[in-house]
Amino acid sequence: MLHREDEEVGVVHQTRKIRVRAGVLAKNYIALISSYLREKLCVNPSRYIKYPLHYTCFNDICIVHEETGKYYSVTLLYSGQWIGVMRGSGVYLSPLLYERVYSDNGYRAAIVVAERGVKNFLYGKDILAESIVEKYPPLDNPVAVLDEYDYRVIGVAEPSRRMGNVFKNVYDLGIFLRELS
Amino acid sequence: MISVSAEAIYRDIRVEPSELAEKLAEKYGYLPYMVQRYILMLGIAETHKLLEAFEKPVKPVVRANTLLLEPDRLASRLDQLGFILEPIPWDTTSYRVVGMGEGSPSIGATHEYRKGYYYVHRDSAPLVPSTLLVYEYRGSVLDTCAAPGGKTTHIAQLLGDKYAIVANDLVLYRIRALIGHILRMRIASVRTIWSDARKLPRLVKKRFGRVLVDAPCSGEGTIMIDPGRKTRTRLLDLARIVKREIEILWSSIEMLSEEGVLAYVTCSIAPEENEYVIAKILEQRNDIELVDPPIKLFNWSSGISSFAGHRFPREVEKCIRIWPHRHGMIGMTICFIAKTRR
Repeated sequence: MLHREDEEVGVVHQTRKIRVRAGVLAKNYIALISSYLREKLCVNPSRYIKYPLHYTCFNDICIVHEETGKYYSVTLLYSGQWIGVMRGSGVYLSPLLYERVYSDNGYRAAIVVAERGVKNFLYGKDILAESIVEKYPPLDNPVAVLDEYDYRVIGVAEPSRRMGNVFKNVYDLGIFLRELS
Repeated sequence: MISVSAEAIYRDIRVEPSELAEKLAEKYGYLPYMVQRYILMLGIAETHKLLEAFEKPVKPVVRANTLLLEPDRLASRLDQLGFILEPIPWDTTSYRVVGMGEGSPSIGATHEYRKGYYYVHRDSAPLVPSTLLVYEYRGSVLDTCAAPGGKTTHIAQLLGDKYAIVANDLVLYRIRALIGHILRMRIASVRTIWSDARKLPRLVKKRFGRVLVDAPCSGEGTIMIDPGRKTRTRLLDLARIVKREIEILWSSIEMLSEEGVLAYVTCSIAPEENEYVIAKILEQRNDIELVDPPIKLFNWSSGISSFAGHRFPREVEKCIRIWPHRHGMIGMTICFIAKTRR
């Protein structure tokens, strides 16, 4: 049985197995994205994202993109560029956005990972120091993970001080198989 | 909105299985009415060939995401991973996966798949409708039953991710998969909406130059992939499916702009789901006409204009029929409908 209810920040739709939420991204998340773009990637955020941003969550996985709400009178669940992914209390850039920035300005806040590390990362594992073949500072915040084979961004990792030189998997492109298929 | 009843359709499409149909149905594990229709459409010799073709599995097809890489680069990478690929002669972006090396991952689990470099189709037939619908077209497209997104992402690719594609579906878990593919393949031109396709004319004011209707169908062309379909659809179930197809097609035609073109697609060889549906719509509308496909990709078969005592309008011969035993693909039927001025 379909269940719908309106929430302050968005709309919740629920079926027996899937709970979908969609709405306008809260200001604190937008501030996080903007400051990361400005301070870590050294670019003007307005060149890469159009405000307001929106989110769509399927159960626990939340995608940040450009538009939700209504398309005429129909529920619009996803539209435009993929901007990022929300995980826990954080929001992280999408591979698409990282690659646009890198294409214009070169690499920053990125690690390049060898084949074995890529394989493990795409299965949701963390990245060990010995898998990293190149580093592009700053590395004290979330970093883009690039595949050494073609320098494509395959996800985002965060340095873990507690675990030594490990970069913890925040999200990787395997989420589409694991959580969205 | 068109008003049709499943009971009336049932009375219309009912066939009595012959003794031979009963025998063949028993041998191959089908519902007898299905085989009777094959005999009526194809004759006895070809029915044997069709039933044999349904026993042979088809190999999947990968379509390179040309927004991210060249097809030959994908082919060489998959070759390195141990996959044996055969080009599709009429689609330079796609390859049939005819074999894989020992220890190769499955074709839907490689890094390259995760990175969005390709889409995995069950067969090459699903490439046909999108290729033809947007041939030499530049503009917005509505995909009324879009999930899980094979044809939507294909259209986005064909249009260079530059024109708006509105992708609608009713089923939430399938929409989730559609969005997954859009993200994975880094496509920005798709707007994903959630509605019953039959309600769209009332809910959306915009009209489109191209509309794709990949109607939820019996899947009677995909028995080699899902043998359960040999017995899943009783004739009354088929009548209900046909009713929904008529309603969806009617509403989708309403979404066309003047002189716009719609592709009506089913992965079914059932004439009831194809020529019959088209005929029912043509009976009640004077603002549409069937049109030929813009190009010939391969030597497909034509729609059938008579079947089991039904005489359909002759123009249904403009439809494309892909037969498993003739074309080595899943069964599929595609009809192109143009909206004319009233």
